[in-house]
Amino acid sequence: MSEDLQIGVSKEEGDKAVTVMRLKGSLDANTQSELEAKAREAIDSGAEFLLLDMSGVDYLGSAGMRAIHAITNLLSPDDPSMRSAKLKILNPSSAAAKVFKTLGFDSFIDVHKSVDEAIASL
Amino acid sequence: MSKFLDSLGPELLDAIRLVGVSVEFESGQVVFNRGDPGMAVYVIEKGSVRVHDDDLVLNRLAQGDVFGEIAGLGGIERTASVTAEDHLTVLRVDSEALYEAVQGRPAALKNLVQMLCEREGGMAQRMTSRSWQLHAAQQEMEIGRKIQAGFLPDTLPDIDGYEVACHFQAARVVAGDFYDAFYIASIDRLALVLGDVCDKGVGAALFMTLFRSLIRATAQSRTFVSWAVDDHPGDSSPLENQDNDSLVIDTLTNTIALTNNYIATTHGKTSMFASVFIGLLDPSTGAISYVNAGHEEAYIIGENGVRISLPPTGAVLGLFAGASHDIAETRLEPGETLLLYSDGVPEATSKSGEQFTEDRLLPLLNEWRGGSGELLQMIVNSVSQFTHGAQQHDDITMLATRRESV
Repeated sequence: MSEDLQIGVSKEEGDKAVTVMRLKGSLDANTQSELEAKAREAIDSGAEFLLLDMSGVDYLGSAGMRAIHAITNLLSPDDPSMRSAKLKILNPSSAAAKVFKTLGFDSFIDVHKSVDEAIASL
Repeated sequence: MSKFLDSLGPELLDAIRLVGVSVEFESGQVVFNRGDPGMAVYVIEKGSVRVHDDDLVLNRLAQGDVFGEIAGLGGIERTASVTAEDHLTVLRVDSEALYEAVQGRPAALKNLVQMLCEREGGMAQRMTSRSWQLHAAQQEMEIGRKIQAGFLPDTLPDIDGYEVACHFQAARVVAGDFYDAFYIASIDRLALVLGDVCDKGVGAALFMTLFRSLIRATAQSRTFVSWAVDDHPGDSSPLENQDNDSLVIDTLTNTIALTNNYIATTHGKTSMFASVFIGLLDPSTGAISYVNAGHEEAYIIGENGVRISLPPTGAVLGLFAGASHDIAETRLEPGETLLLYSDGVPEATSKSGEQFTEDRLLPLLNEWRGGSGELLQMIVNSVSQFTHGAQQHDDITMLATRRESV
C-alpha cells in the first residue's frame, strides 16, 4: 500500500547541497517508486547529497534496496565510482540494518549516527 | 453539433432537448460513483470526463460524447464512476422523462434503440478484441515459461555417495529464482547454486537467465576472462600448472567476479541484483568451498539437527562493480545434508498476513532424519499447511544435497 511509507524531506543549511529524507513505514515493492520519485524531485531541485534517515523503517524488502541503489545512480549518473559517496544512511532501524548487512550494502553505502556526522563525511 | 447528437436523428434529438437539463461540474467533481442508482443519461456539452474504477481509468470522454446510458436507461447500478476532468457542462437527461418523451414518437424510439444497439455492438467488439489480446499475452507468457524452464537443469547430477534434490515453485508464470547443480570434471567438483533475483515476474525472469548462464558458463570454463569495472573484458589467463585446490578457489572467485562485474557495469542502471549461494563440493571428502553473496543462510543438517549455518560472505551480485567476496570452507560429513533455500520459504505468508519465518523452519530441520528429497517434501508440506491456500507472493526454491552415511 502506497500509504504505508511516509517521507519527510528537508534541506540542510550549509556549504553543501544536502537533503535529508526521513522514512517512516515499509519500504517495499509497493512504496519503492514513491521513494525514487521523491529523491528525483530533490535532485532536480538541486540536492547533490542525500541522507536517508531509516530509523522509522519497520520493513525493508529487496525492492526497497533496489530503490536505494537506483537513487545512487540518480545522484551520480556518469561516474559509477561516486555513486555510493553521495548517499548516506542515517540510524537504520534494526530491521533495516539487518537487510543492509545480509545483502552486503553496508560495505558500499556508509551508515551514520547523526546528520552532522554524515555531513562531515561528505 | 456533435457527431453523436447528429446520429441520433431529429426526432430523438428533439426529445432529448425537451427533457434535458444543463448541469455544471467543477474540475475533479464526481458526476456519479460506481454503484449509484442509474437514473439519467448525460451528454457532454463542454469539457471532459474520465470514466474510472477507483484509480483505473477506463475511458476519457469529451464534448459531444454520451455517458451513463447503460445504467441510466436500464435502471441498474452505475457500472463505473465518472469524474469531471475540467470545468464540465453536461445535458442531464432523466431516463423516466426521456421514456415519456419518446412515447408517441416511434421514430425517436427507433433512434434510441438503434443508438443503444450500436454502442452495445461497439462494446462487444472491444471486449472480443481485448480478450484476444489477453489470450495472446497469456500465450506469450506460456512460451516464456517454457523457455525459462530450459534455464533450470533437466536432471540433477548423479554422483556416487550423494543424493541431490530440488524444489521449484514460481509465484507467477515466470520466476526470478533459480537453482543449478552440475559436475565440473576438470576440477572434480559438484557445483551447487541457488539464486534469487530481486523482484518478480518478467523483469526478474530475464535477469535470472543472465545470472544463471554467466555462473554456469564461467564455472565450467578453463580459461578465465576477467571483467574490468570500467566495462570491458580484461585479461584472460588459462588455468594451467596449478594444484587442484587453487583451481577450485580460482573457479569460484572468477565466477563470482565476472558475473558481478559484468552485470554491474553493463546493466547497473536497472539496479537489478541477485543474492546467490555457490558451493563447490569435493565428492571424495565432502569439503565445500563456497561464496554466499547476500543470500539467506544455508544450513548443514546432521544427526542432531542444524549443525552449522553458512551466512553471507559478501554482497549481492550485479550492483557493486569490483566488490570482493570472501570464500569460506566447510565440510559435509557422511549422513549430513546441505540445504539451500530462497526467502520464499521463510517469507511464505498465511491469509492473516503472518510469515512462516526461520522460527518455524529450524525446528523442522532439527527434528529431521532422512533423505534430501523427503526433507524438501516435508518443508513444502509444512509451508503449504501454514499458508493454507493463501496467494503465493514469492518464488519458493530449494536445493538439498545429502552425503550418504558410510
